[in-house]
Amino acid sequence: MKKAIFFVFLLLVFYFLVSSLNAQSRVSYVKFRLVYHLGNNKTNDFYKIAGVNGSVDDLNIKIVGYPSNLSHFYVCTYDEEEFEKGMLASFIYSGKSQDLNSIAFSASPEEDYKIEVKQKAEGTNLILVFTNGACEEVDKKIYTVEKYGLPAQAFSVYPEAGRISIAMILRNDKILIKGNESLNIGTNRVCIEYSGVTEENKPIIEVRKC
Amino acid sequence: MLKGVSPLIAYVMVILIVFSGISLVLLFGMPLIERARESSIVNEGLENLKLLSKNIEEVATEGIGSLRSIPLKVTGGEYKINEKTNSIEFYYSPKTYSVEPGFLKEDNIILISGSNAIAKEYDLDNDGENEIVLENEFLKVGILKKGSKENYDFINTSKLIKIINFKAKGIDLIPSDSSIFIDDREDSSYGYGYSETLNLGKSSTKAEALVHLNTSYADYDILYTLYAGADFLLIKVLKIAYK
Repeated sequence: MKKAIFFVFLLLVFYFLVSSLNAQSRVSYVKFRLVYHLGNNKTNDFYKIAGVNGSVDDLNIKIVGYPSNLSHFYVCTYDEEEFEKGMLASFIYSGKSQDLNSIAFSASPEEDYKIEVKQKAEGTNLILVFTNGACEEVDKKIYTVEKYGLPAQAFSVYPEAGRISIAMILRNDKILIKGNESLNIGTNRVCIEYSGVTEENKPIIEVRKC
Repeated sequence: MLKGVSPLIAYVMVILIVFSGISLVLLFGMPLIERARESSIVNEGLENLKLLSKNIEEVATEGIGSLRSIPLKVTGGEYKINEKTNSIEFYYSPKTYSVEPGFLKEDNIILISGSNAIAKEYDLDNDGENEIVLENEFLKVGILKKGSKENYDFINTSKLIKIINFKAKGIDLIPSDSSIFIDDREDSSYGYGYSETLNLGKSSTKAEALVHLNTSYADYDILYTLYAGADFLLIKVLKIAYK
């Protein structure tokens, strides 16, 4: 009887160990897809991905880029024929290269443009650009995006400096923040407590006034 | 010949000089003092968020139950702990302190300056149904409006971004598919949930829409953010919980 109980106990320990290891080693991915067209036809539409750029026209195009063969992590399409000064649409991955799986672009005479960006689920970073101009506008800002995760200003058009408000957003994709309070003017005492873990093994940190 | 100024005139002159001096100080000095005060509030905001970030990271490296209690001095602005967007936010609208519109990221802190982002709800694409409309100087982004926290509705992520309008030219981008998949699973791209605006009708530095989705593979949130002065939309998937 004792042996049987001990055996069941061992099985349970083994099960929890395996479950815990699975949870820790689970690498999950998120794929973003965008299917669209620019203007009414593809004549003189252009695309840019993985250092390849060319005219779309009525060609069948399918390109998949991986971090190892991509100089910059974006797909861009633009149309300068139907729109004065051009219009561009682009998907930019703005995270770390090790967290990117792939970027794909496809087009065919019958179908719209399709962009897919697949990246690790922890801390997804995606920018969808729709603005004036050609893909050079993205090229000009891509260094800032790669360094800081954001362009310093809009890609193509610039806002006039009027009345300005300032916001600062603190977000850590490796941590889940819990709490919904506001802080008052004066001295606040803030408690930061490790209250649990998510299914993805992210720490849940509760932030509250105390 | 004038031998001296009468005491009364001298008294009036002294008062005039003193008042002129005070007026000059108020005219030119006060804006400078106010600008310095506002600048210090902005710096305090950044330092407070850095302090929170450092302590949160430290606590996260320790075990469950570990706790820090820190004093945080707040002389201005608005601080919000926002679990919906998994962030701690600081907002401030200075009157004299000027800064160029733009964006900056420093470690885990994003700084945004601008004030023309707003979230509304109306029928942007004229299909007879209201969308969540995130709008700034350049773009209007129509996000599918469905369900509520109390009443979940069927949502297919392929139809979440309904329209993006480039305001200056009146040009629309209408995606036929804006799907999101977890682990390449088709069944993770649709399910039941709701979409909501996070700051309805309030002109701010950012406009946001949150979509919560329960699929047969996983539950998760999608956060769409349009900053003031941005010709781009940020898309994030948050809080994935596997079934």
